[in-house]
Amino acid sequence: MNSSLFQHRMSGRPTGLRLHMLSFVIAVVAAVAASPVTTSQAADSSPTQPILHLANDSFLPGRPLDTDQPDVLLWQNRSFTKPFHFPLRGISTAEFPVVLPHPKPSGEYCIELSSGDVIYGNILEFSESTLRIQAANAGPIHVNRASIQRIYRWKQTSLIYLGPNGLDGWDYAMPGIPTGDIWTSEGGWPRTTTPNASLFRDFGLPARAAIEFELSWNDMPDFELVLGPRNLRGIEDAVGPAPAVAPIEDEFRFEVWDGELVVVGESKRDADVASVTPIAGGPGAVRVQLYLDQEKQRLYIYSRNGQQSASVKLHSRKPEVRSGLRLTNREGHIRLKHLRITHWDGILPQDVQADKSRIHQTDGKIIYGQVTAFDPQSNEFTLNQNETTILVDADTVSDVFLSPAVATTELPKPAVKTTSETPADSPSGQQLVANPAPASITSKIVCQDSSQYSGHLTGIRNGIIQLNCENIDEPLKIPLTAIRSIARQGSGTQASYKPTTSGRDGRLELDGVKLQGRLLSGVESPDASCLVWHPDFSSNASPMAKELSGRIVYRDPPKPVKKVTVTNIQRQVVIRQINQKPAIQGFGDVFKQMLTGKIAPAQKPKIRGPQTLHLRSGDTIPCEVISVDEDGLHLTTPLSDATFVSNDRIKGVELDGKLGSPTLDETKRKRLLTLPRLQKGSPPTHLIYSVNDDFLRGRLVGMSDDMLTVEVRLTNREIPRDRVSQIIWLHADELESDDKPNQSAAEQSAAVEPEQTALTTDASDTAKEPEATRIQTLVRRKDRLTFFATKIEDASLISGTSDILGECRSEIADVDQLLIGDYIEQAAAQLAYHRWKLHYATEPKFVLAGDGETAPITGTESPLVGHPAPDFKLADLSGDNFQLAEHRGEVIVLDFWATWCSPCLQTMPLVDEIVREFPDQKVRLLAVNMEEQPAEIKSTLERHKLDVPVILDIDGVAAARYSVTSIPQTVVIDREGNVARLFIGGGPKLAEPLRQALKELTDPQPTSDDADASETEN
Amino acid sequence: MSNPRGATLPRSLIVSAALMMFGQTLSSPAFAQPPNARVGEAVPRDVREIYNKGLQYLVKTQSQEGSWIGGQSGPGVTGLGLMVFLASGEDPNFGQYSGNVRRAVRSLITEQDGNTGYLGNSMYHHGFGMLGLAEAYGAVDDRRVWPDGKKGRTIGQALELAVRAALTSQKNNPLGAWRYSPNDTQADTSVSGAVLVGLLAARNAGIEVPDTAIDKAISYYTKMTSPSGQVAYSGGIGGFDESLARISIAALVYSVAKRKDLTQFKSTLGYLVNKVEFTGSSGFGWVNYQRYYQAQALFQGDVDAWERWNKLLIRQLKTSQQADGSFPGQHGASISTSMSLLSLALNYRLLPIYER
Repeated sequence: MNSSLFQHRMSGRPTGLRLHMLSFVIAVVAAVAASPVTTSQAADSSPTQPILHLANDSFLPGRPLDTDQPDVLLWQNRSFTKPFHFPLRGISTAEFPVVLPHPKPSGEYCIELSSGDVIYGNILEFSESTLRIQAANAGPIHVNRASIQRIYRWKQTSLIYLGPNGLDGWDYAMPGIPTGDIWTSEGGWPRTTTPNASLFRDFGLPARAAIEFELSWNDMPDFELVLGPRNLRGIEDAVGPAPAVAPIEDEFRFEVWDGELVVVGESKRDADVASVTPIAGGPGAVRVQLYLDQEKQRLYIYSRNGQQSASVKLHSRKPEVRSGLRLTNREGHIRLKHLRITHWDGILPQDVQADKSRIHQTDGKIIYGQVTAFDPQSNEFTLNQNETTILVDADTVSDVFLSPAVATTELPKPAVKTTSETPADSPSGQQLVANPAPASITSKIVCQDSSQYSGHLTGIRNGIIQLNCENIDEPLKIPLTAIRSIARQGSGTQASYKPTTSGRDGRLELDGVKLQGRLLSGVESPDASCLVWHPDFSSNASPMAKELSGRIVYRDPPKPVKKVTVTNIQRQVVIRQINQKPAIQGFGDVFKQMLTGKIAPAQKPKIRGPQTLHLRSGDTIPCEVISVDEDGLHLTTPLSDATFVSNDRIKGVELDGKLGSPTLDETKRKRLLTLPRLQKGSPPTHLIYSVNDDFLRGRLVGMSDDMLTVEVRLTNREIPRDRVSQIIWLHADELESDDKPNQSAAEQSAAVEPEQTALTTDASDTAKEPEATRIQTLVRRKDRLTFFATKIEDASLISGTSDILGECRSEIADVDQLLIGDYIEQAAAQLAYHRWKLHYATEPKFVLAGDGETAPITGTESPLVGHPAPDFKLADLSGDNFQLAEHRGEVIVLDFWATWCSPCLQTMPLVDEIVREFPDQKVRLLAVNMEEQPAEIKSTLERHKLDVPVILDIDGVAAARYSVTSIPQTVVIDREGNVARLFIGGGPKLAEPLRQALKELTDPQPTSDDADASETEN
Repeated sequence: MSNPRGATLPRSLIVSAALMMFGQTLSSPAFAQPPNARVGEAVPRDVREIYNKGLQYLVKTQSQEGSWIGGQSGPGVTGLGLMVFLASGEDPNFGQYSGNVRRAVRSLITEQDGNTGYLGNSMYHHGFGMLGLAEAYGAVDDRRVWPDGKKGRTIGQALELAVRAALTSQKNNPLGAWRYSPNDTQADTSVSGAVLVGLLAARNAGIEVPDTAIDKAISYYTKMTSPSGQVAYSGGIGGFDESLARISIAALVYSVAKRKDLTQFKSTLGYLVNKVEFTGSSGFGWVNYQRYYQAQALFQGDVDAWERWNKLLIRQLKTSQQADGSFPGQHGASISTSMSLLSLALNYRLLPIYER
């Protein structure tokens, strides 16, 4: 191949790689900052319940109900009292949970139709015009013979893999990103838009294999498909800093170079490249048939009609056979639609006359002739060759071609236009697929066993979906339980999908639900909320169920401004405030009082500015504060006749018109809000903020017109009210721990009873209120009002009752967001005022250690924890080498020991037993012996009847890397190659923490969504 | 010595409002306690509510035999429960809890080993059981304790036997103090506190307890008290820590043994007063136990500090009391409830051991 071209390409590679890494970092930051509250479930890689995706990015979990309406899904979600009628034109896909283990297709043959449909089954009968098939899922059917493109025996013994079928079995984790955000299963096809997302699987690829794959995309793709990669991600990213230039590996890979798909062979000695096919912008797909010989280092690409179109070769001195395959999305969008791997005997297919009807045999022979019959009894095909009849034993058949391949129509893709003008018989000959828009909208059904059918949906009856397919004589009946996805095929989506009813357009977000639509008029009833939602595309509306949690967004909050700038401005403001401040005293004399016992005379009351009460629910109430007592706050407010709010609902009050939560340097604030461990039983309940920026922690006993009584160190002190700017309420149930393990350890010691448990929040009480729907309106980004909505009139005016303010009304037109149910508290927790909450001081180690014997051990104290596990290469007792870096993807347990260490010998069987509790989960124990001779080790193991894999740290280098100072030391390394735990010491108390660690690492929980930072004020 | 009235004489010399009332009761056992006899500030409403609710729980859970079962059980638990009733202000012989009092007393005496005087299965139980008997001695009329036809030891006899058992145990202990088993040669400041306070209460009630025994025990405590006021558990390097329970025990035994002259008393009390707003730290025992001693130690040592601390205690008990009146705790609700109520009982100041 053109080596100068190759050189040019190669020099560009590392730069591109660095760029990818940079964009990866940016992507992580973006994901953290903007992850919406409700999409976690929808973004999950494999849905646990059916989920409907609409054409406007809305999604709704639920299930389809029976309907006689054609091309409609009647979809029931439990957040709504009635099902929605969604016409097919508004639907993108309906995804159903992937059934595990994956059902294997039944029958011997796979029949590919020119429509893109794939039918698995057994051939019953051949005739001139039809083929009768006993089809999986659908029973006996007649298929139009002219529509059949290829028939192959998928059940050949040489089959290694046929798929993909969801993400199960693929390795695609990326540090710091929830797995659901990396790859998703789209009707069983893995797809991603995440830059640098990789999909890896070890297929046990033999030295010689035939591989057929199909990839598709929405726009100009940029991907890399590596055959036999050395490791998961291609770069040794876990040990030490990433090298500036990626080391060259011996590998074959497909890449996109400037509008061209190329196949590259590369070794330390040489490289080779061949063009596969041009790739144009816009949606498209490519299907490649290749033959790979890793021993001879040859890769051949064949067109689908059987002609060799490209090949690459390498001359490495020590060719290696590697067994995996890795697909990496460098940028844009990519979808793996088909992958079939079979053993290959090394004999290349003969050149074929592609336009002739023929049979390919498993030994590579091709028999030309018209297939006229198939006899299931004798299992023989009948071929008519030049008026001679030939019988072919079906067991020797690999592929059957009935008619010339029709390239331009062979694989239509949903909703895409022609990818490339490349004719099928171009020199590259790849099946770069044209996608003519279907005349009308049809459904594409993908079954759990990978069968695919397209046609008109005529209804669902008794849980059986009914489909009329163009090329199949009889209507298809497929049970919903056998279906993996239903997708709309064809374009013309956007025509008038808005409800005809009036109302303001908004976006409803509930747990797992995102639905564009409108709120209509409604009245609260015992079974249904007054919130009636009409989603876009749906032909009907439905009231929401009671006790939901979520929000309707009418106006998205502004994008968060760069934080640094804001802080600087705030600081300047504060400094200016301080500079301009008249010489008013703060709490200085409160402290003087404590020392002297003298009470300073109160100053004359100053004129007060506007006062605002902030509730824990986030509500802001303009008011005049009369007094505070042990029960709560007495006030007057222009909003209502209410005069009292109980303490447990209050978060803060602004007394002097200085608006917004106090600002304080983060370190100082943290210190101010730290609760010493000895004070856990009596946390301060208030933070008093003076007019000149002093803070006082204590317990507000009462406030009169001119004086506050504050209990400080169990003694009551008086503070003139005019010195107080704001009071913040600190609630016991807001207390949070600095570091979770410490807190849980403190809880385990059970020394202090959970005094706080008797306190319940008012919020949770009101959440259980069944009578009406609790909502909060957010107006002008800051004014919040919570009430129980009872009705909506003219789709524009919500009215209801607040238990503080009485009757409330709100115009939907003014509302930025409408918060529903418990989400009110979740959102309020992000508000600036609500960030003023106490947190426990970190427990000192001696407290955590307790009395030694019962001290819980966490294994997380070592500084190595959370960092890449140092690599090593050590020999085992039979002389084979073990290199840690090669075992990424496994959970490794290292047990450092020596024969002279009796606690080690007591601990080893325990560790071994726990590791054995995780069979088939790639958990590997390695007993790292420290600087002893194999003979000695073997005899010790025999004497103690121990059967554990031992590796030899002959010179103690591995032990030094793992900071081993006393043994036994047990180190747990996660699948990404990071140290997850490091336990020093053994004995029975090691068992539970070790087991727990392995449980966590073998069953990773998705991290919860980060808070909606964009809502945070300040 | 078995005359309980004789025991009241030295007490009556002590000037104490609470004692005046108590003295009246003792001098005429058949005399019902006059209402509103409490002297000093009115008992806060929260205290009365918590106490009464807790009393109801103990009434409901007391067995027919007079003990409390479920969780920790034995003479120590019975002794503490008995004290809760005695401290309630209701007449122990005729008041609404007199039946509960009698049953508890019977249970203590029945469970006592008639030969050795040992109460229960550890010296903890022995100490608290002995304290219960000492507080009942003189207040509860022996003639009403046993039902017709049954006769057990008198409270005085039982108490004297218990004292002997404690003294014998101490005599055989090289450290001059106590540990779990009566025959132990080790000692710790927690078990010893239970026994020593029981002995001091018995002495205050008029039972003969040799000064040498008290001195020996106090000297054990002074050795276990650090200059900072922290008190070790059972000696050895690094034995000092911030256990408020043990610091309170030491301060209390110095007070009740009338050894406020000791520097160790001043250091332990100083530690407690300094940390009066601290409710204790996890990792150092059991919060009800800590409060039980903290209440008495602060009350005996510094009434002002106790008043401030008491405010916090009321707040905490109010939130942790369960709907049935009990207080949860790692050794069972019976003993946690009794200790919580007794830490509150200082507000009533009715028990002789609370005399200052």
